[in-house]
Amino acid sequence: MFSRSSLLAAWGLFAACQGMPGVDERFEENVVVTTGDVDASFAAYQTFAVSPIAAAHVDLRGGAQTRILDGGFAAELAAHAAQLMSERGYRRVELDQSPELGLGIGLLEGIKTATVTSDAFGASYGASFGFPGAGYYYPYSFTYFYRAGALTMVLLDLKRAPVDASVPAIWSSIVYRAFPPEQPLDQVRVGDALQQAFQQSPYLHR
Amino acid sequence: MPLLKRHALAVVLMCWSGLARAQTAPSEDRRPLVTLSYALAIPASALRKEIASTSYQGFEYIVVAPLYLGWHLGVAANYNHFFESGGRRTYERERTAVTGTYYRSLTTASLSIVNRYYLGDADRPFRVYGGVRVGVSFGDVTRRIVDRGDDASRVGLLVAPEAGFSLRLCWWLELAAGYQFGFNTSSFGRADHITFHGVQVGPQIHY
Repeated sequence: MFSRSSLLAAWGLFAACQGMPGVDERFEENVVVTTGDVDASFAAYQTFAVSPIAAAHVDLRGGAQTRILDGGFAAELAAHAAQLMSERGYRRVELDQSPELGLGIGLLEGIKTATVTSDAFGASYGASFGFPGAGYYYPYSFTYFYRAGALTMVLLDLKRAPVDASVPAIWSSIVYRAFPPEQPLDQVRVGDALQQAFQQSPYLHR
Repeated sequence: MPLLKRHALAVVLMCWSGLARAQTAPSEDRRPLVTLSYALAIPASALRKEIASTSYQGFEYIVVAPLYLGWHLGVAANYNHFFESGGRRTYERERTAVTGTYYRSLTTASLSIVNRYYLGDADRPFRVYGGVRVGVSFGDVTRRIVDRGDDASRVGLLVAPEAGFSLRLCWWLELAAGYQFGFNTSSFGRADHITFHGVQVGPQIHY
């Protein structure tokens, strides 16, 4: 009725190998990416200013509506970032005091599965740092997409004039899942994300 | 149907399918033994530096033929898949750094010559054996931190002393279980060589 060989072979069936989760799934975790321009001399800058914290709301079409955050949380986040920069030898100045570096911080809210490939904060940073209408660009390779729930930071070189209405960035960071989308911002979690981004950038100092 | 019940039913059906056929007496049985086992592997010593989790995904296929008294010689094919995730690490290259969960996996497949000795007569319902396997082991290693990492293939010499037993269930079917300590000369990350404790359980037939 049953051949011994076929039954013996059937015994050998076992569950499929436990494999690695896909790349998309891995980016759903708390991932911190930082990239610095290898040609930039970070010790050549002295002053920096922090732009108002911007929040971009992502929609299903991939677009984003940006607003400026005010209130206690935004001020504390900006102060935390400024402290981390100061610890690295840079001196904070006001936006109208011709800073050499501009630190832009953005939060991506909105639909969890949407990604934003275009710059959601460029216009905001350009206006803050004295280049209205100017965005920013990466003179180095930076191929990561934004995702809702991410904290983004960019350090702009304000010593150089805009090129084609864009200011060059010398350092950038994305922290995925820094906060759950569509939920109130967790101050501690966002602060930790900011801390990790600076911690893994040892070249960022005077 | 739960997995255990399915396996038990398979054993009963396999034994029953042999009852109606004329069988050779066990003491005269000089046919090769074929074993297909479920195999699990537990990382040992050096390998634990990279992967400490047990591999529950493995199988083994062995064919040994009696040569003289209890001495058997044959071949074995073994497969195991190790996977582990956990711990945060930072991947750095020039001025790019990515921090995330660290994933690593190791898949091994080996072919070896089996040199085994069974104690006692072939007609005993319960027999123990000891021996050693020598062969070659192929390994695929993957390490990932988010989208960064490396893949590599490894080939090494495998030496694995073994011991086990067989328990006769019916004329042609036995239950076999064994243990081996596998030593593989290839390396994986911080592990200078791949070593593991292997346990195999499965049916053995006189083919």
